[in-house]
Amino acid sequence: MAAETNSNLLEQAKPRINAMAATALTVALVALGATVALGLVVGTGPMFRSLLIGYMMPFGLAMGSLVLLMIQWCTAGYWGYVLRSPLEAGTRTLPVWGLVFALIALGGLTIFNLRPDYHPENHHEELNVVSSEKLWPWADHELVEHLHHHEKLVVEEKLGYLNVRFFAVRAAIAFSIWIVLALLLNRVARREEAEGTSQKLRDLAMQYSGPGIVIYSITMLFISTDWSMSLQPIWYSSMFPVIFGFGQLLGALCLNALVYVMLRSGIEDLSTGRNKKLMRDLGSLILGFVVFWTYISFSQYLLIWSTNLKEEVPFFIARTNGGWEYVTAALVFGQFVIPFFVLLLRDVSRSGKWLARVAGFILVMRFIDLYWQMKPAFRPGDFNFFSLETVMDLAAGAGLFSLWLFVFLRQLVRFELLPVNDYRKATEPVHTVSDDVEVAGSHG
Amino acid sequence: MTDMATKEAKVPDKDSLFTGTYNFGTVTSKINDIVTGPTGKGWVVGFAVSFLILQVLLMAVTWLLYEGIGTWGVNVPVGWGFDIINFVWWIGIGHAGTLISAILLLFHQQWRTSINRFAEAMTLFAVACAGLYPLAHMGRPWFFYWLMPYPSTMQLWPQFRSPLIWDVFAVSTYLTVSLLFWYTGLVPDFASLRDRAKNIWARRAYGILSLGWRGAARHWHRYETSYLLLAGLSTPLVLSVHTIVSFDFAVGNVPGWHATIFPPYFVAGAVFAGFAMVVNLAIPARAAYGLKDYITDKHLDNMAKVMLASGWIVFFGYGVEAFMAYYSGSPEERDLFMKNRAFGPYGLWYWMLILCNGIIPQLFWWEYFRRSMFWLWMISFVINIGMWLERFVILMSLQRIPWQSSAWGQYSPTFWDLSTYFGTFGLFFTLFFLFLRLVPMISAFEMKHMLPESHTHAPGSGGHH
Amino acid sequence: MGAAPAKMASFGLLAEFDNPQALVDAADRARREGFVKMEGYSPFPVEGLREALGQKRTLMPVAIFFGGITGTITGFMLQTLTSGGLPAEWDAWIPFNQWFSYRLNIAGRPFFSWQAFVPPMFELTILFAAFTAVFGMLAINGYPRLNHPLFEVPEFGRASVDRFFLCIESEDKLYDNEKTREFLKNLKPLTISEVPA
Repeated sequence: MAAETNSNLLEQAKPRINAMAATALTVALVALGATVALGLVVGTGPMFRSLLIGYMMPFGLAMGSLVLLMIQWCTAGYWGYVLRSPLEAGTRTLPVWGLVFALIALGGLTIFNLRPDYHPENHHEELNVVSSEKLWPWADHELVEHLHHHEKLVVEEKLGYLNVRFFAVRAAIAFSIWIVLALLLNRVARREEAEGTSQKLRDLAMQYSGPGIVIYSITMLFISTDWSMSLQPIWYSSMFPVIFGFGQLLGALCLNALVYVMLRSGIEDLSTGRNKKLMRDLGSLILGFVVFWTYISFSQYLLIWSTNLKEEVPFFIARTNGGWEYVTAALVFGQFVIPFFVLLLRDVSRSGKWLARVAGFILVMRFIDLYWQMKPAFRPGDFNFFSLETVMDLAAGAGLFSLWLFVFLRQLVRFELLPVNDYRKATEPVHTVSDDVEVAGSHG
Repeated sequence: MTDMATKEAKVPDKDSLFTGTYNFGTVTSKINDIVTGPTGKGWVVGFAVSFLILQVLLMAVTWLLYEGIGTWGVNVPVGWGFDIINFVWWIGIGHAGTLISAILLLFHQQWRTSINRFAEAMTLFAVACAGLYPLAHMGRPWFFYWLMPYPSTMQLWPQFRSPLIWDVFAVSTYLTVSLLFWYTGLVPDFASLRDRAKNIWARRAYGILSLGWRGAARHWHRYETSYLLLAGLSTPLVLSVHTIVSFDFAVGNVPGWHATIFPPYFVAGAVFAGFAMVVNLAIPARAAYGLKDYITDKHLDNMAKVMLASGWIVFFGYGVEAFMAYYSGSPEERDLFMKNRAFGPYGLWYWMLILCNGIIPQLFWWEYFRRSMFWLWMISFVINIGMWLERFVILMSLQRIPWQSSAWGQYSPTFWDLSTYFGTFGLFFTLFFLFLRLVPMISAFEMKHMLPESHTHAPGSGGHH
Repeated sequence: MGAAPAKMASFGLLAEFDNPQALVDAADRARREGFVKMEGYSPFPVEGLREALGQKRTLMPVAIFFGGITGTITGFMLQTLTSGGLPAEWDAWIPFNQWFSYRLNIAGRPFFSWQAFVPPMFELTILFAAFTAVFGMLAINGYPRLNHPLFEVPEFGRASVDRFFLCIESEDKLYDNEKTREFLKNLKPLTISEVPA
């Protein structure tokens, strides 16, 4: 019987999701077309940089989905039951998204094209990382050769790790591992759908998930270093991989909460019964994630600010000058202050509508966060909102996000929107003293 | 009235304690009888031994105050020795208590109820032990108030840009809030001790401690609201405390200490060691007082899982440190890691800590090791040693090689370092035995709340005749 | 129930129950009957009792929030003023800037190092909020109060152990010693006791 209602849910939602997917595809084609057109005007170098930045957020959503999926197998909360299907759909986008990365990286390491202002006779002079002829500056040997003395020494020390071949091997290994993990977890879901839930299946999922989380953190340490941190090859921060990976979790959580509210709000009342508690739990989870993101980000800033080392502090100088200070402020307010205070008002965040608004808002901030992480590497202390380059960044971001959304939505309608045989189907979000504290007048 | 009198005679018989069937009355008596009942022999022996060890601490501190900091092994170049290692170690252990009671309350984890009181007490005593070290290290501890912001005659204020002053704020706030949290949780239980006390003096003492608690609905409502919010406040607080402890090192502009990952990695280490200590204390305590129905194997299993997860974060932190030492491209960072941490004079300790914190806890992947009391206790003990070694390695590997090689040196603890460390165990366990004897070690009112008959439904919706 | 003048000879009438559901139902009946000055007592927080008694939700969260904000501002002002965080040119107009501040150049960091002020600000936020939560809650509840008329009733000793009580206070407009006792009897309590004033 529950299966029937679930199928109804899928049948009801299918036309809407398909229509959204079609829109997403149209937006993707238009925006990516615009990116390429702008790239021909501004230059292919900036275009590949825009594409790399735009790539990161959907990549984070797919990877965050994978980790959240594994976490929900290990912690067994009710939220895991309702978010599982979208999370699984998110992980199924990984093969396509691996391909997209291969294309961007290939283009960025071959066609990529910049350093127009530097004439051959000046090549004996010092070069700036910004003028790199490759998407990742360390891959441009001529550039490394002509860096400022100290910078050159530092970058040369890293070339054993930062070289194209090793970089490609790492990316290939990482994607293979993630895709295998996604396949295994999806296979468990399909088996559960066919055979019904059993302790054996749950144990199997946990056996994949526990080590899977460990593997994720190890691979993401290298991938975040390779793809994002090494854009500023002198800079390093051991907190950065944590911030990078945790941002993926935050983004995926918000996306899936948004998907859930959008799918269900037309069908059932989100402010009563199980849903009310679920909204409360999701609101608390997002609140906790937002606070933790702030904590790790501020810790990194405080430590680098107070130590004031020349290898490290340029990262923040580049982001607090020449227009970037406004982006930084927007980030502080948008990804901490505003969501924090809205989610603190529990009555507000418990209504599905507001939860969806906050989640959607944070998703936008996720793009700005990644933009803030990467773009100043190319334009340190120089942010101009009204420039073709910024328009191209936004177009690439919108295009790649829509493309990913299209793939995601097509995957979403392939299977039930709520797992038909999940062991938590009949359970409730746990009732505790906190309900009495928060809920007024629910009795008598 | 007579009808009621017969009903009242629900004196718990010994057997029912172990069958796991309880009602409101027997939960209260089971927990309170430990406090109000006769003093056990085991307790006397345990307390006497702890008290004896406490005398070692008193002796060490007295000698320190008489003779000066020179009695310790710290000197140039190693200025932070056992005092800071043990400060960090003890305060890390304390964190599990707050985490168990606060975070698990927020996450609706019911398994916290029977261990939270116990864990919070551990927090308080561990923080007391930790606080002793920086105080003693001042040399003139009677001037400790110079660290406080107060309008002195010279108008000289603390140096607010220093992490050491942040520590003063963090640790004193932590101690205060933990004490308030613990005491707030105790008030209703003191009330039931007061009401059941036969001795007039005990009745008066518990009466004063309970502040006259009556259990009115209005009071309970405000109480629960405040208690939950206090838990909400304690959670970021406990993270901030160990974060600021990590700042003590990471703000320093020196290789091996200045790693931006330190804050979360230190916090995870604190959780790791703290849960290990809770397990080390809970297994003997529940055996001694027959509390297996309250602190069940399931609790211990969950704690082992928390140790596995936090242990992985710590292990990951070691990996990131090693990788970033290489990736930084800085010869100082690389040399420090290769020649003074992984290899070199402290290499043995480094690999020991990898073994204790990284390798051995992996046994917790298997349920057998999480459910076997012997292995669980042993692995937790190993983790405590490992986390001590971690602090030792972090502190020592760096300080012995200042920038000028002519100033390089070694550190070895003196007899007084060791006896101070040994003595703080005396302080910790003396306080702990007093706690077991004088205060209900399990929150009785919250346990009652977990009984099925405590659940109510809206009036008039059926069920009641 | 007729509006009899309140007799101050007694504090009220206390009915005893042996399970929380009975107390919630009794409180609900009493509220419907029109009683206002009444209170339920239990050894642990009982779900739904507050609503059954018709009591309002507490405003403690708001108080705690403002307690925390006070801590943040205190921390910020304390550090900014004492570090000479306000520009020296302002000394002429803001005398306390001179009185409080002690400008020390530490590692070339600005006098107004807001980044470094965040950790103590955070700690003071938590400290002040926690003080509000604990001392505010105790103060509003009227604790410490070691004596209370209810403690004169021997049965009330089990209110902290395993019994549940409903007390209708004599200050209530509808209170009448006889009629109220009759009403309570209908609720089938274990005992009914008169609480001496």
